[in-house]
Amino acid sequence: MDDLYREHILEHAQHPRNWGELPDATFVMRAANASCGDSLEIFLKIDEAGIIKAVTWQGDGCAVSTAAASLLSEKLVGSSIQKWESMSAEDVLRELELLHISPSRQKCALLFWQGLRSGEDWAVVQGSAEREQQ
Amino acid sequence: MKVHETQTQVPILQRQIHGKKLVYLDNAATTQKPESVITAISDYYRTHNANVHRGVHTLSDESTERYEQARQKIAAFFGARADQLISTRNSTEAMNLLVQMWEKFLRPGDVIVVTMQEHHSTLVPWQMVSQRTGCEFIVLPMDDQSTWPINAFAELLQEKKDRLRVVATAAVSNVTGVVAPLEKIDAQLRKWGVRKNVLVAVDAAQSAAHMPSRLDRWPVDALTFSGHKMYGPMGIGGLVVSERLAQEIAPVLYGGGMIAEVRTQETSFHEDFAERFTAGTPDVASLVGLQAAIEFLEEIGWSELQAHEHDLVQYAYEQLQQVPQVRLIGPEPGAEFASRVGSVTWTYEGVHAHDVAQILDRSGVAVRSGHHCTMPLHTEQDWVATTRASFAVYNTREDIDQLIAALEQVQTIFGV
Repeated sequence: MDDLYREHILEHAQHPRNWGELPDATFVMRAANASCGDSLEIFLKIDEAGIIKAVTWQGDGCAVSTAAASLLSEKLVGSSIQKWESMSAEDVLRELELLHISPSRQKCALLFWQGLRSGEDWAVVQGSAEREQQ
Repeated sequence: MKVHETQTQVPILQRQIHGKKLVYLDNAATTQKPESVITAISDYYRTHNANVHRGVHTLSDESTERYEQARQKIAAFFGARADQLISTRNSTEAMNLLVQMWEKFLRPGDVIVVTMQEHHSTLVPWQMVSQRTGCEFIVLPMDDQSTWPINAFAELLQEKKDRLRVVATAAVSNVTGVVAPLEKIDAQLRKWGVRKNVLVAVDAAQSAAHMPSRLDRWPVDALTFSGHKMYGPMGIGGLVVSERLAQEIAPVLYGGGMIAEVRTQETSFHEDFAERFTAGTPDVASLVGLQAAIEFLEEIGWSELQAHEHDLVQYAYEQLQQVPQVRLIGPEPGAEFASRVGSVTWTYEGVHAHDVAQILDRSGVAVRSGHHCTMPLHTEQDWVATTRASFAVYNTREDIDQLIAALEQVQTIFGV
């Protein structure tokens, strides 16, 4: 707990990276933590091979969920979406250097990842779907 | 027992959290347990445990006697007789049970009314039954002062009085501390002559430990409660019903204990109300523990308890008002005790409620953060999450001073 609010977590919480919408996103995912009201949207551009080409996100959340989303978003570009889907919660917490976070805050740290692995719930962005049809 | 003596009666308050004395301000979620409650449960299992009403041996008699005594004590606390009390796991289960039993009386187009500040344990069961039965489900928004929307209710009656069948609300809000004006609700229903057509159900989970919550004084038909929010054990609560309602409802849980005769193709049910509504073995130890909790409350007495807790709410409100980043939610506590009961809730500018609560925990201060099972209220008011300090009789002004001191850490860490 004592290092939960360490400098780089606070810095990402206050200045989240990759913030906003992505005009040419191919997928939009949403995740919400019903117990606390946190919610976020993730905009992804994924190519035919499943490689993430671009990512942005936005939402409301605590310092932990905001920083975790910001930190993870920096790791996405160039990797395959399947890789993130197949990771365990423990793998993600290790990536975030938050393995010792309390059980009650794990949901916060994992919210962005929960959005990423919402798999079949992916909503194809309307414009992109139309473009694909053309 | 004097209010200040209660602190030494609750063992967990001696705990240290992160090297600091525990300041427990999450009492609306669950209260801590007095030694007498813990001992009563332990003694029951050590000395008297046996199934009730089943055996003719000595232990079964002792257990049955303690079970009956506990039920009488609990029912009397809520202004009823034992044959008006159905024990459940908690207030949520009690409200669900009431909904299930009332469902057979609902018809498409009937109106069910709750308010925006209801706990999900009231809002969701009535919302679900509305969907199943085709009833119109109306959620009244809070009024401008965040108090119970009695004017909106009066307006609604003008239009829908003939179809109104249910009013369900919390006696005290778990977020704003707002007290429901039960007398005014009743007066409105009587004014239009529709009182007898309407089930008035009150969730007393947040009032039972703070003010008399009695079916013989409140103009309501049913009351639900959770034992663990009134110094008793987790896993025991109840539904208390009026004599009128007791005549109208039928059991929805079947099994041993509640029957008169069982044949392969038909069953008749026990004549005794309490038996008829108790399918299976009851949680005797928890009922005995809850009896001890009620005795703890009675030893203090309402007048001293209410005066002390009102002082805590007022003091906390005043102290939090001094913190520039804090925006308090709900009505200002007035001179009247019933203006705001049990808790103070706020948002902290620039810092999420979870982070506020986590930083307070470092100083040993336990508060609740989130939307406190009132998502519609938080959505309506555009609060992502709020932080709540809720009080019990063992809390002190020093606890609130420690809360305020700990809040300074939020500013230090987040630089806001």
